[in-house]
Amino acid sequence: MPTGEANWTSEMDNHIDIDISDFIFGRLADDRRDEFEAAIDRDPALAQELAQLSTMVAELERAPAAAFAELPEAPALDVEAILNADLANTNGHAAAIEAVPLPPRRAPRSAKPARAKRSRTADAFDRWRAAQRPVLAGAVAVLIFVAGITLGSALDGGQDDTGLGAPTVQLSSVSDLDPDAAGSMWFDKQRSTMTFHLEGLSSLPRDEYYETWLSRAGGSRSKWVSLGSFRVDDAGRAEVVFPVAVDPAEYPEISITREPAGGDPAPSAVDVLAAELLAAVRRAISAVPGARSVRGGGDAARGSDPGKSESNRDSGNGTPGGNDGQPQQGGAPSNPSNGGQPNQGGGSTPEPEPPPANGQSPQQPVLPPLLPLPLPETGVKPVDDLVGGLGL
Amino acid sequence: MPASDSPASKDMDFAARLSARDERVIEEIYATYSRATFGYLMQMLGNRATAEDVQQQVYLEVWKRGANYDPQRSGILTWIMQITRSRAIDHLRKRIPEPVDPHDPATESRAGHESPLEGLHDQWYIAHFLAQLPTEEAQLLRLRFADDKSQSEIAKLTGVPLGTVKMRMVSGMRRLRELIDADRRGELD
Repeated sequence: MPTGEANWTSEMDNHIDIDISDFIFGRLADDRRDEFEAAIDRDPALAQELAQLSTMVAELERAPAAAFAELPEAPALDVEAILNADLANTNGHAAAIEAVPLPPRRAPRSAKPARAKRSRTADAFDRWRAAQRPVLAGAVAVLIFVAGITLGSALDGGQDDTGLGAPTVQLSSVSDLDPDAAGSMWFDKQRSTMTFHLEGLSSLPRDEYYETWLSRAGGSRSKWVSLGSFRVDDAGRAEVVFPVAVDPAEYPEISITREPAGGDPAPSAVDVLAAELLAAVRRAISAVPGARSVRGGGDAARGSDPGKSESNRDSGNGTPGGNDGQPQQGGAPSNPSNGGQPNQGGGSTPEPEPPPANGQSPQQPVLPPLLPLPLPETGVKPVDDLVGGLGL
Repeated sequence: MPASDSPASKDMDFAARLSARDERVIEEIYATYSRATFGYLMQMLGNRATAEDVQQQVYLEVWKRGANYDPQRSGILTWIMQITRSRAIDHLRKRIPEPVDPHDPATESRAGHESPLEGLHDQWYIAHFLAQLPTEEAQLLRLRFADDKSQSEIAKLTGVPLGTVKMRMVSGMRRLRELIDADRRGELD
């Protein structure tokens, strides 16, 4: 407000504000403008204020219309995650991380079991199997079909194959730096988040951190998509939740790297953990009773035709190994919080959803759509190979 | 404006409490500035889920680096917007182009306004301070500068006497200038 030599009253303030408005917007009548400019010459404070307001007008006129839009509502802040991340700096978060149940370590893959000594009974079984091949081929088709449904529902948050109450993909060490490192990833398609439970990782110095990537084997590392970074506690553990902004089906692998501080956005060459998302296909198939293993994949498992998949699901209900009686949303890890920092995962915490009391879906289950997994283009396997792969 | 509510004193209060690790201050800071930072991130990143994630990172950084904030060097909004801009750029550098939902308002907003980063920064900076004005003053400034209405048209549209429109507009710009000057004082030193 101009002070100047004059002792402005409120009414005069109002009057001068109208003059100021007319002056800066060029609406002051000629005779009044001369008088007003004389007042400016006499009052340096008024002159200064006019200069400032004119600058403000110019700034507002330059601003895009969006600057005048109402501000959007912001999401709720996860204050607890922020304070916990800060506590992790002082090792105070270790106990909280300890409380998170880690998935059971997967036993190392054993070598292929030796074939049992052949017997006459086995030979007879072979003859029976030859006779049954057409039937078995049909059964294999059904199994692959069901596996596709199982995989789809697993990646959509349905099928539990590890006892965690949620579908997971296991990560294994790929480096001598942390040979005992392991972990699991749980994908919640509904929330589009990936929850990682990791252990056996080295505590890194302050100028290094871990970073999680969706990756393509053989592809340029510059095309990898970062999910976020994190640190581990003193026990080498971390439990982090990352939002996933891309379709994970387009990235057949998950990688975790060590990254130096310094802002290079590209992944380093130091991979410590990795997992194939494609491995979920094999696990989904092995979850079908009676199927022990399978070589290769089939078109049915790819679920590439959503419309077809929808009808497939209908026919799959009631098939052994289908999703009958399974909760559509698997339970989440009991206490996912953003463990270490600089964990960038600020995703929402999935809440466990209890299964129906009677173990049955209360209504006709509505299965989520299948994710089109980019299986290797190996062509359609001969039925005999598939039958042999199933050990039938 | 009472001295205790002035932008400068508010910044000083936030700075002192960040330095003292007062856990409640991060919620107060978020309540004050989150809409501007979120608007900026939505427009820059074009995806609500991603913006929410980066928003969380920004306020984690505000909390962690709070002890280093010096209200003598800049207003707290300038400081927070710098962090927001840096985290958004980090995210853009790391990701490959993603498919966008054409029905997402953020996409529409981004497509309709291809401002450079600095322009976006200034835009949300102004939007924040405009939201601090009394509603009637902010409304008049929006009609004048966003909708390009003359003062006479505004008077007709709102039913407010022309003289009152002029006074409120000057009052609003004066208040806006004080808010922005207080936040920019560090840059001008």
